[in-house]
Amino acid sequence: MRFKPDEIVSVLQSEIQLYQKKLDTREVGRVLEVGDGIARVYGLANAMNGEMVEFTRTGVRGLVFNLEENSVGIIILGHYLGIEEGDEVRSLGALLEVPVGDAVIGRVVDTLGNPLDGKGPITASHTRPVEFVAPGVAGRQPVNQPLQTGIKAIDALTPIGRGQRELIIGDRKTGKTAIAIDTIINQKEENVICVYVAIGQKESQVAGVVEALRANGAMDYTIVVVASAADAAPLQYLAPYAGCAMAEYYMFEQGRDTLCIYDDLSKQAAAYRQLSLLVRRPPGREAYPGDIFFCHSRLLERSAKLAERWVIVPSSLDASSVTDKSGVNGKVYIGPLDKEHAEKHDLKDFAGHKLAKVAGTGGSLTALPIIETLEGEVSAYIPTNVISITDGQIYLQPNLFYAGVRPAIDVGISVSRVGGKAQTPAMKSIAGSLRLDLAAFRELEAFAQLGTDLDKATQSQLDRGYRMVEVLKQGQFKPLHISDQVMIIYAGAKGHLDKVPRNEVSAWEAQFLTFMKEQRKDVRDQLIKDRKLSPDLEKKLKAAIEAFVPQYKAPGQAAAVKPKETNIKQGEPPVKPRETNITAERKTGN
Amino acid sequence: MDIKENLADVSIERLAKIYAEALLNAAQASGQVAQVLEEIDSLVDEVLADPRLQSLLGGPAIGRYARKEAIDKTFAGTTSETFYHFLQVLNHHERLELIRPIRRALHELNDERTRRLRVHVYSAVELSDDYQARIREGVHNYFQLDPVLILHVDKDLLGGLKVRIGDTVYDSTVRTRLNNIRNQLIERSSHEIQTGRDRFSSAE
Repeated sequence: MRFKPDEIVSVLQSEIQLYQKKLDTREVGRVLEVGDGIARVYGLANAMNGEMVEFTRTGVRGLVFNLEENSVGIIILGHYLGIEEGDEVRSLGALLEVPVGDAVIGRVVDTLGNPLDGKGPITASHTRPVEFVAPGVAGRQPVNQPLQTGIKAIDALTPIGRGQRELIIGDRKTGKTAIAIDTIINQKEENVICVYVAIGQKESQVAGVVEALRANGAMDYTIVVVASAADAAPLQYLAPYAGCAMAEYYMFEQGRDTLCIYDDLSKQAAAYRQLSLLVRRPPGREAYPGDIFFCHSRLLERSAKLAERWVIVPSSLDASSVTDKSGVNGKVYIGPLDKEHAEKHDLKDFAGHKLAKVAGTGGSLTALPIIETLEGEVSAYIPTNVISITDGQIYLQPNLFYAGVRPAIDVGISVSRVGGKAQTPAMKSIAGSLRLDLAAFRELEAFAQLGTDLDKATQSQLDRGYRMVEVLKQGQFKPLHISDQVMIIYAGAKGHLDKVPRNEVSAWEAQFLTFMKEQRKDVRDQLIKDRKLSPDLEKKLKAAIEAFVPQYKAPGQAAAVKPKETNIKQGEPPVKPRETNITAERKTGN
Repeated sequence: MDIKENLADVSIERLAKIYAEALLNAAQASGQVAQVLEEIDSLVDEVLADPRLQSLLGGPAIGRYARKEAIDKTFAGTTSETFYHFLQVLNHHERLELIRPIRRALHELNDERTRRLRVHVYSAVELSDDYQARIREGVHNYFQLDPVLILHVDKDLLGGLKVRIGDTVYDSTVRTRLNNIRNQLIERSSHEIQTGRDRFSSAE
């Protein structure tokens, strides 16, 4: 590589020529004391809460956190060891902002947006304030679109909608992060921008997550924000807000769907407790400050499904150029009810026109906060707070995890308060009774352990339950398409697995899904297209399952039949069984 | 700015303001403001600077009556009547240890009442009388207050002038300007280079 010094000189020269001499005016204070990421400053009489300040000598930035009668408490966003008593602090008159946009996608950054992945500086064209007021009632619309996690137990039983806040809660090492990572990986085809915020975690663990995302091609649409256990408490406290701001850019500015994972908010709460105690705010329950609830609620309230805005425009108009002012009747239809009204009534008056969405509206931010419990104690302060803020929770149980049920989701107590409305009709129709069946199975299972003799109906219900539990098991990094989930859950719920040994359910599932992709592609494609299980489609699916049953080979034998199955190219019509062909030949007389 | 002095507790500051206001009012009534200010400065800077006299201010070793006698012997007749009475009142309320914050509050209050403004001026070389007069005039025209210049010489500023009024700093020193140019060059040039790398290097 050869550098062009002339070009560099010309840039520097123009900068020097354009340099404007202006009086540097600043509001200053002096450091009274410093320690543990906090500085107390005398002066800065006009400082505002949340304002950025700079320690002039070291260049380290800070944030005004506490306004006292004769001093200001500042949280230091960087190395505080170089700061000394008496140092000058200047206010910058700005709020903390982070770089956002495409330049940050695929990058691993710290709370302030500085790169940590060694891929060079980030030259972002936009920035957004870390603290931002959540959209109001008028700016939102109900959650109506599913966010597919690719995990059967979640998509079927605790479905998540775009714009929802669904808490993932459980003890350590129960697979909370695994669910989050699988959800990110599953967004590959879904056009969802993902932000993974790692708070107070080991750097080695974060490196593992980044590697997993990269290996599965998920870094192409993901931003990782890291405030590790080695970072100062202020950075850990602010990391989720910074991650949220990065996702908000896509929601507000581009109308896109985003997913933000806060892993985990327990550690963020601990960081906030540390800061609050250091600035001598009064401790409350479990020594958390009084505003710890607000700390989480204002973060999670920023998750939203923004209202779609529609206008009536000429049919020829390009969708990307539609604005609020494009409407031929001057009206803007906000939300689904207005849209329906426009379609049914107003649009009829304008022949040759269409209803078009205003570009950049209708984005969403789905939040998956994670909370770590201690010994399953969900009634502790922070878990109860976050449970009450979120729209549902996914409980992970250590005993299920160690019993081999992975993901270790306790489907009995996991709920989703708004996701059901966003669930695809196909999944809704088959998953409706699944929760009740599983609950009944759990009761029976406990009863059966007593060793009493069971009647045939009870035994068959138990067998079905065992198989459904097997069906809901899923390996890590193996998210399934929603149509595949529907097909396998349908097969299990309708009893097609009853005769399959329990330990072969996963093999049956794998072979069945391969069969559907290769030999009954038409059924799968129709399911993807229609998103609902019509009687006709259900008949076809049932027929496909029945056709597969004789083809199933137990794990030991599966290898022998596989080459034959894989010879079939995608898109070819399904091969009919040999007998049928012979019959056809006889009928035609050949 | 004396950092240590400012570490005082908020409640102490409040108390000090109350005593300072009372003293200033009494001094104004008796027409002894300048004398009282001079006396309190002298007491703090010269007398109490001696560590042996620290116990005069407070501490359990000397009781209030013994201290009263000591004040009588030391200050009766030698200071203005207002200041002598003030010390006795302070002793009676066992608030003698507040003398330093009271002195600071007294000066601030007096400046406020006489519309005076303390202006700290930092320069690389000592300022001539002519320069000082120009600064005074400038400050007076802008703030409509009578400036009291407190001059500081700091060679590290290289040139130019830095003025601090309250918490606001007006900085036109050569050092700050060079720093600004440096930061601006780094920031803008790196942005320019990042956005158009082909312009600055070729693959050959």
